[in-house]
Amino acid sequence: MTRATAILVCTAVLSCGTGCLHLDVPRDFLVVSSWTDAFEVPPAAHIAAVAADEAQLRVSSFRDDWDGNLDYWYQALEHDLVDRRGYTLLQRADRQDAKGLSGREMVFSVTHAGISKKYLVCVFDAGQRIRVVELTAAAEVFDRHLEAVQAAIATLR
Amino acid sequence: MMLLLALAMLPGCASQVAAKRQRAPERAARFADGAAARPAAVLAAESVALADPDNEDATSDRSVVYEADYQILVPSAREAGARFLEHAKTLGGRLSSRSLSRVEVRVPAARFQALLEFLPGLGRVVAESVRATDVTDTVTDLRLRLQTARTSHTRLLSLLDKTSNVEEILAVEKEIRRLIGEIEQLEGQLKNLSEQVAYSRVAVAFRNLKNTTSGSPAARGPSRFWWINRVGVESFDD
Repeated sequence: MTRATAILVCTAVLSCGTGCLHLDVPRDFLVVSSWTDAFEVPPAAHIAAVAADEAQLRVSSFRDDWDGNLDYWYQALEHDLVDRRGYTLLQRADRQDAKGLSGREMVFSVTHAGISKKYLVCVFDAGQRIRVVELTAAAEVFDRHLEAVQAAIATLR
Repeated sequence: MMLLLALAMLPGCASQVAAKRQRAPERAARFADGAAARPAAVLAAESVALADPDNEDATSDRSVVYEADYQILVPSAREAGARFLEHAKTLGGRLSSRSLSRVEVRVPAARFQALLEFLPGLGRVVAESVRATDVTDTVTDLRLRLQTARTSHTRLLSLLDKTSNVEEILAVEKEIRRLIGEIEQLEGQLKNLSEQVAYSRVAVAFRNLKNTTSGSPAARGPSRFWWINRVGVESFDD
């Protein structure tokens, strides 16, 4: 291993220290994908999990290219989902992650590909990154996962 | 005749001490019940708040009117307007006017800067205008004119007590009525100005993001924020 490669790997590992995502995934879900792109600055990360009834849980970390704050992203997201995509907002709530960072949660109903679904999204502004937790499922099975996912959001770090 | 001569000289001799009233006739009391008998209200109007938005502890003797006009691009004008108003109220402000896309509030001058610092958090500021108008000279002038008018009013009341000539009484009463009108007008101006100094005006016009695109089909396009296009039920299909 050349010195340059070693430095690169060390940098990647160090970067992962601030970019990795962790969420205590509810036991009904099976993690099907989990990765961290330590070479992106700041690092990007992603966790995807699926339940037996095909409810899908996803945690993402996006680079904030615009330096927006939580209120702004919350409004922008709601605007996009409601005004552009036709979602119906059902409820909203304030959340906190494992480090006490404030987040905003919204739950919507939407018909997608002819199927009535519900969708939860919770957004956190973590400085240079925007962290998003999502849950989607058919409307009839969504509620059975809701409480567990909301509890899991509190473990996000 | 001497009384009428004195009446003509009144505006110029406001500093002279009025003769002590020996009696209190009803006609004098009738006019005294007008402007000069409301010291508390007048004092409140004259107590022009002196505030420096950059320094709450400033002991400046200047009277400054602060105003700001903003235009902000937001995802939802209605929600942003509500949040702006709510924050203004927490700073001690109050609503002046509101429409679908514009909200105008007045906040204590000491909180003016704090409210302006809050605005960028609502969205993208596309236009801003902040003005500070020094009205110290106007306030001083109004106070002097008010003081002079009150002194004249007091002196006329004294003169009214001393005469029994009907013609002179009518002339004095006419002048007293004019002075009361002037005093009330000056008090109103001073109160209005003190209000403007004490409470800064902040007006914000909110523009919806979707209104910045041309036509509704464009509004159905992807978000300008790429990460938003990667969330939602649709993105789980990818």
